Amino acid sequence: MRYIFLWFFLYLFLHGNGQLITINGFVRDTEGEVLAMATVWDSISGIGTITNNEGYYQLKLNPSTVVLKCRFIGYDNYRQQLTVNSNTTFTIVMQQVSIATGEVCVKSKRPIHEQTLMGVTTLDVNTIKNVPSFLGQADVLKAVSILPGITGGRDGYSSMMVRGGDRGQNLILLDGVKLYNTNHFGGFVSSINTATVQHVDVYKGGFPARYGGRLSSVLDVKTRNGNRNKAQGEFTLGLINSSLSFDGPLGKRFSFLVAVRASYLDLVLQPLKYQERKKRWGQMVDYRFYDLNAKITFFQSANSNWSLQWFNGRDIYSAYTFDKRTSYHFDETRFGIAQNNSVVMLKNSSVLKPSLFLNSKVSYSGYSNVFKEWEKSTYTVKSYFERSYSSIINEFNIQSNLDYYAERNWVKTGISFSNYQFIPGLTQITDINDNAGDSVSVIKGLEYEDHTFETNVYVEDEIQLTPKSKLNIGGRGVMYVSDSSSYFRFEPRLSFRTLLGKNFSFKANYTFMNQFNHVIVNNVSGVEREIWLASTGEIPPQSASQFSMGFFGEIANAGIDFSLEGYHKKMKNVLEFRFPPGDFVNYNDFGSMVIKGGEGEAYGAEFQTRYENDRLSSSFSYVLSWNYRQFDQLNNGEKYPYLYDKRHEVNFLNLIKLNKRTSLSTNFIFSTGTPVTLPDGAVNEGPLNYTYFTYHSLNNYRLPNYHRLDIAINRKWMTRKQNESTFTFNVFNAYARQNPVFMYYNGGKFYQRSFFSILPTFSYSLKF
Amino acid sequence: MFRYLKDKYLPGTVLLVFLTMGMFSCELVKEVDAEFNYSTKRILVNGLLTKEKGVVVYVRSTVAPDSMGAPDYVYNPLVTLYQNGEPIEVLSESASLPGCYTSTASTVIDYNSNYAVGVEATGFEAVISENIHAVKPMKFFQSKVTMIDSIKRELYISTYFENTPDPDYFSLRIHRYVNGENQLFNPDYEGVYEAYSDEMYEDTISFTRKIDILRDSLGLVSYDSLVVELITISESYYRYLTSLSYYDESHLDPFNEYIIPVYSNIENGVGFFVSFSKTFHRVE
Repeated sequence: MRYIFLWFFLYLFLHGNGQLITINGFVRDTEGEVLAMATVWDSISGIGTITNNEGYYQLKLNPSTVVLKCRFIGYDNYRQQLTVNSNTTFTIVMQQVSIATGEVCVKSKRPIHEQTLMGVTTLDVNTIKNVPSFLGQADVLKAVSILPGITGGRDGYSSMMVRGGDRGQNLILLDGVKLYNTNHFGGFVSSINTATVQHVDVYKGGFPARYGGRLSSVLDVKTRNGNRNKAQGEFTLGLINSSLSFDGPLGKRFSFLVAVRASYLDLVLQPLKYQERKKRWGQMVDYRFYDLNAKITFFQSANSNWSLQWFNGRDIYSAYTFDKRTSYHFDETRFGIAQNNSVVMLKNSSVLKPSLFLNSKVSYSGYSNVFKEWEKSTYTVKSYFERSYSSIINEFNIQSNLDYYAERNWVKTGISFSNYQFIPGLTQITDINDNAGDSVSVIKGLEYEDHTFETNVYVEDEIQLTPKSKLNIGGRGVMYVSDSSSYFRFEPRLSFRTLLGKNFSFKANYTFMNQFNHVIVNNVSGVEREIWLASTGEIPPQSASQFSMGFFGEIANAGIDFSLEGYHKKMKNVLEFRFPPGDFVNYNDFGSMVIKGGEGEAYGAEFQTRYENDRLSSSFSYVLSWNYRQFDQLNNGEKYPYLYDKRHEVNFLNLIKLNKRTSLSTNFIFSTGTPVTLPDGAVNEGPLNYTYFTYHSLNNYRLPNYHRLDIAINRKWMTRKQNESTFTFNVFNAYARQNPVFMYYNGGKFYQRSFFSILPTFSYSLKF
Repeated sequence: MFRYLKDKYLPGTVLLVFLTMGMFSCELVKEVDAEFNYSTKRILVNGLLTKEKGVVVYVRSTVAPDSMGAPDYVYNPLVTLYQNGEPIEVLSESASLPGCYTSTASTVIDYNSNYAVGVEATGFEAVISENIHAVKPMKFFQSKVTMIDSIKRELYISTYFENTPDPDYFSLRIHRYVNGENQLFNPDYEGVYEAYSDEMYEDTISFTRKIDILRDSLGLVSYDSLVVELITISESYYRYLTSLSYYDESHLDPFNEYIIPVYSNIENGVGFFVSFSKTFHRVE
């Protein structure tokens, strides 16, 4: 099978080049920002393309007059007539939708039926900001979760479960570099600062060969460069955190962007702490997070630029009790969690020839978390005891990606090397007791470390087979080597599209994915700690094959488009974890908690229709899906509905422009209740046991249906100094629905538990 | 004037009232109507294996989850003891304890063999336990009481294991004798511990645990002696005991995405077949 793919690809790759001229260049906005995934086409010949990740395009046309058009979400349509008789480089400058027109939109400007790939959605930053959100904070992951086929997990959490996958199966890329943790605030706030985002591409299926390493989705976040023309900034005041971003030119050839976001929950808690301090004993809680994005771009020439980027996010949480009531008595016990998330990248993008575009990166991405508990006493005897569990993953990556534009082909190829360091469980114990100088011990142990290497090579080609048909064909080879094992996997990818008439199309695709790095989540009373594990001899790589097909169409005059997709996904070697609740685990216990060798199956249909006019932008989606897991060790070996299996899911998003300054957003969600496990038997108290419930079948009961309405009102105005101000008032769960997240049986009665009732919040932002 | 106020403040006031009512009217926990999906009854086995006392097995059945306390007696079960996969004895029911099946005195438990119990009964699916071995007792290495001042003493206990398979687990309890009367002392450190292997601790065979005894926990009453009870337990017993605490926390924890059921090593049934060995050490 793989040889057929290769031969077919080679045939198409070598397919002829006629005597055509080339129009190439970048698509930028007025600030000099490149626009990836913008559609560029000649409206006379109908030949078109989309820009690559660096905003570069190339068209092969017959020498003549062309009408070059371009469109991109969040920007006015572009049109320019040109007469071209030879190869021409032409930069397209797009105008951002202004505050005066105040357009809101949920539709990509690119006709949905024309794209070759399916299961792909582009969200621009304005759309993300307009979606009603939890805690009033625009949040990329929560905005993405309104897309059909994506489940956001429990109320308030920034999780992502895509087409039956789990939260560790998503490839989150920050400008092409893997981000290993996307959460602040125990999962309620995502670590992607919206102030830096230009747009987000979300892939649920039909993954092109350039993406790999996760089973279920790709979230490709593109951050913006600094403005090349003028210095500007934005300040956002939110309920639990605020952000400040500043960007602008540095001379003629540099630009910069700096964005900082920080929480101030610890400041809010200060009065409570003051009271406790006054009492000289009590309990205290501290929580704070921040993240920092910094980017410097060097525009070496019209065809080459460099950027150096740094992202760092940090969370610190601690809770402690203390007692200072007497002069000779001081006792303090404390536990805390800290996590650190970093990305550093140096990138170069160059147009080598009009038909060759090279993009190279060297990057580091790392994530670590530490749980620490300690006790300090000066009560007669000074003593100190400390125990900490750490989990660390570090990745060093170097990659090169080459785009080659032929007459009817757009070939993308690349190679990538990664060196991973995994320290999933590092336990350190310090026990100091200065009683007569004895009992001083520091134990550093249980260090388990894996070093793995991964090499990826991919080739993909987008081919115009006929005027109506396009094919995206590709393959990805992965070599993953650890101390105890090595794996080689070949992943074929195939996407096909054919137009049915002018406004409709049929698409089909097949993808095969592997995942070599696995994440397990240790949730302790709502505070989550992620632990990354490598594929070794003990834990084989997970794999998934997905087939999907669908009909897509547009009723252009009515401003309506629609899509109907069906998919079937099978997963192998998936993992389950059974962590003890209310406790942080160390690696010593993993063996009994990791359940291996599972299979997963998910299938369903997703329908979405979108409508747009000058005042209203709407999106309605309905999903019918099934999602199962099967493990020999669980549920008596029988398959069971997986955690977020929802038979029906409806999402109805409206973005309404009330007037030039004010817009109203509403989002209604309905879904079948998720499965939960209730007891199916009980054990009476006996000579050797207490009474307890037994659970032989997993997820044997469904919670009541979930529904919720979120509302946001955005009001924009210009200040006296002509700065744009926006006030957003958000109401999460507007009609105070008690959506259960959990159900239990106690004292002969059933109870349900909800996380959030109605939650009004606000935010204010000022651009300067 | 009224119209002015109505136009200016009414929408905001309505919204405020609506939000306030919503926030205060919503309970996050409420009682709901639901029904169990009750599965068929299963055989419950609680079995202990010791070198000294042989095998003791309690056989009962599970009951419906909303019928706790309902009869759970299993009539005329066939309870078989297996050694290294071969049946060696049919256990007989104790005359004084209905549902309790014991091995005879002639059955010698061998440290080097694996043992399992199987139960068959009419109306139930036959069950068989995991194969386990009899665990050996733990030996004390050192203990000492240090008087820090008039209100605080410290007790150090060090233990080590002899010829026991890896991994090993133990339980520790302190008994306090006051005027000759045994009072089970119940400090925070009572519980089940896993003895880490030498991967974590450099002293390869010993596991040392320091225990502080403070005035608050002892009271001002002097005591005659302390007796430290050490129970070596099999891995399956450790899993069962720890799963009990995990179960207690998980089945009422809304943040937990899954229930951790009580550990069972009984195939097709519920319960455990485990081994332990108990020793005592007196600290004067």
